[in-house]
Amino acid sequence: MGLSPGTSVLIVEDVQAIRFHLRTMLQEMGFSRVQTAASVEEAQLVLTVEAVDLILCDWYLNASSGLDLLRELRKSRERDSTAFVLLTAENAKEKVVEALKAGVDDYLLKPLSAAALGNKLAGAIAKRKVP
Amino acid sequence: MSPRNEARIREFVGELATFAVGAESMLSEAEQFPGGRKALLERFAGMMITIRGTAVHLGFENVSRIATIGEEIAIKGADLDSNSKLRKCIGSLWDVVTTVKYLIEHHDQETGEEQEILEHRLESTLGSLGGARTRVGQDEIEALLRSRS
Repeated sequence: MGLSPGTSVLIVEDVQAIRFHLRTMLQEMGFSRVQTAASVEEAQLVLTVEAVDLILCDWYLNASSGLDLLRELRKSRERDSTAFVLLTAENAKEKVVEALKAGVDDYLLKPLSAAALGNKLAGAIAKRKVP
Repeated sequence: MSPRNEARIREFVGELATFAVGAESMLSEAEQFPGGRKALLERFAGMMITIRGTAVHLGFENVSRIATIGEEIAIKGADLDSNSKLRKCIGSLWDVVTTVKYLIEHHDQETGEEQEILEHRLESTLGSLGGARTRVGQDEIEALLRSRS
């Protein structure tokens, strides 16, 4: 399955204005199952309640890191199929390589367009082969 | 501009200003507690990336440029052993925060000569610390992703 309106997405972003902006973008793209979290801790709470198909996550989240969430996700057998896309302004090559090694499915630089976001999410979902 | 867009921009700018204040607090803490300086400067660099990410959404190129230099100086500062270089580094970061705050508050104005002079000075400081790290664009990231698979 690629991207469909039924695909569940969790946005993890500490900047409230960007979080709302992303949610609006996804809803305008037809997604009805969009949740948001402002921190790794909030994201973990969401994930204990329900599994999501895809996580769209910022790198720097106050004192925590999106990569910490990714590493924890990949340790869990139940959640290992969740696609993980990093959305960040971090573009130092050494840091990008670090994220790729950690296992992100895709890496998207801010600022982003709706078209770029749609393509990235579809690609990441297809890669993880969500049924 | 529609009222909805105006409200959205006001919201972004308000949050950007809050992050600048947060960066200021981190810097004060880094000055007061030398033991935790490395971690604080790394967090400061992360805050600069957050500011840059928000600024590029708003098209505030001047804020983005200064935050990028601040991020690089903080990363260099985190690994410095020399006290004199560290003092210079933290002094520059204060200039970064002050300028970022000013530019956010006056985002509807053109960048002044004073900010341009400061930007050159900060670039020169960064150069004396070894220069910026290599940065990549989305196309290079795509290439890195392809080479991984």
